[in-house]
Amino acid sequence: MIGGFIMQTNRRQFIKTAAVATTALSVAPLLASCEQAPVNLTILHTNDVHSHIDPFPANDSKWPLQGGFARRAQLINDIRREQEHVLLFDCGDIFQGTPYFNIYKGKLEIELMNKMAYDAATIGNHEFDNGVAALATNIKRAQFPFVCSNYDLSGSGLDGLTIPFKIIRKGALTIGIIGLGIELDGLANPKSYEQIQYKDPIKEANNMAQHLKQEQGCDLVIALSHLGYQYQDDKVSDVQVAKQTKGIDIILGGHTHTFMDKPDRVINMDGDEVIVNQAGWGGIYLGRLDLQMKANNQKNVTLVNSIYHV
Amino acid sequence: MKFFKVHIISLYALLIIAFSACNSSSYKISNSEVNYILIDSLVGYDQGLEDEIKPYRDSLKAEMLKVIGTAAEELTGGLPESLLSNFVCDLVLEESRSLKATVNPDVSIVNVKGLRIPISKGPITVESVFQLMPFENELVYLTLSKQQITELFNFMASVGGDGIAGASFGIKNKQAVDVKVNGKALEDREYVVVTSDYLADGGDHFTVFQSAIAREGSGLKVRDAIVQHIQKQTSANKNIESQLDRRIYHAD
Repeated sequence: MIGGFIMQTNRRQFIKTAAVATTALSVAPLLASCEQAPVNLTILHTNDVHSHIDPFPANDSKWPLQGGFARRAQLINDIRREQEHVLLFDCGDIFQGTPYFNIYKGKLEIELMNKMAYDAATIGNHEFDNGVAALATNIKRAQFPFVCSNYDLSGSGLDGLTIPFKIIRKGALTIGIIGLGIELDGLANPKSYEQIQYKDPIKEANNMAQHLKQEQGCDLVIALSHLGYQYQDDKVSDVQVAKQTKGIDIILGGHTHTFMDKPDRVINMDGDEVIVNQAGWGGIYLGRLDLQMKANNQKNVTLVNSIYHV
Repeated sequence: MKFFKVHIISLYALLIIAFSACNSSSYKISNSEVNYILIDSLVGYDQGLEDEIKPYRDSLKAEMLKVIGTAAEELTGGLPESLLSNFVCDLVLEESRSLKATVNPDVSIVNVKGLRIPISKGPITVESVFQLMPFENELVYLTLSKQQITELFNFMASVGGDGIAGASFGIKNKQAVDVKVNGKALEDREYVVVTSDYLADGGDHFTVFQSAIAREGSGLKVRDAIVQHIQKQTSANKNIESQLDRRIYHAD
């Protein structure tokens, strides 16, 4: 874009360019008054905790004595003490997997997540395991929102209980949260999700991200997804959503119980990088993303140049 | 005129710069770092949360120790048939038959590998049923053609047998012979098999289930079927028992 200036060879245009540049320089002191310092943001996330309230038993073949809600809470406390801006999310399948869920129907999981002050969660397929009415009871119990951008819940028992997006402000940052649910057909008992209409996650995510970036002024859009990291076939996944949309910066995933060594970095429709991450399952790991957010000065140059051509 | 133009341009530039500089939507990720923090004993624990969990844990333990029935003998798994798989498949067929008026399954299949521990002789606790069936599998009804049923039994014969009820066959040269469903030779009709969603999805190499003509969920979990069946027996003053009845046998 800066090339636009250099390419102006005739003298008249050079004068104009110089005039604009001078004006731009003269407002520099104005800029200083609203100068943006970098902001650090820490994003913590869990997925597929599957009611593992207690650490895994000592005789577990893979994760003996690992995980557990009370430990996770302590870890989160420690990180919140160290960092100014912390967000905590869950990407679905909070429920089902230990007798705690079978006996208490999800009450304990939600109450403990309230205590840990989760900022938002999305709905996983196992959230439907005891039917819509039981899920509605649990959502009402939650002090954090369930964000769901691609289920049409109108007329179902969940109508009005979830939100299509959430905007969170941390310091100077405006952060938009969307939630992507998996197609329930074949995964949940049809009786438990009747009247819930699944909508194309790619289309809904794209529309919602554009809205959040362009109309709501979000600096960052985070998708909480229960679609799954990626599949052998064309089935919609976090990687597919990342590739086929614009405006999403981070996808925190679940469903495929994927343990990652490092996050995937996928290029989206705008050529921008999308961070795709997941933190295994069972509450064995806490995912932690530390972002440094800087003001985007590149934009100013671009705009001055485009005005010159008017 | 020339001055005017430049002036307008300058004004634009000023507005745009001022706006974009102070606009809240001008932050971008400049650096990102990711960690996966293992939650083990080194983390310590939050006492408040622990205090909240404890009464639930104690009461859950009490619930798990509840005795729901008594086994007259030890039921263990094995091939080609076993006391354990015969017991579970019989009850699955019985419980799933009383579930829906419109669906009457002919055969039940539960893989013996999915039954994780034997049922010990004596009291049966809720916990022991969770250990026997730790999975959250749901029973589903599959409609299969005569040819698919044959394929299914041939597969089961090729692996040396498995859990079945409602049908019988011999194993000869790794093929199913003298196949009978409900005591009768196979007819040219569709059959309904009740099994777990895990096997219906092709788990444990039951790939023939993936091409079923129709599939319908039951809403009943395998574990819940086991618990409710044992409770019914106890209410009727019956012990839990099972028998080997040559439903699958070696015909070599």
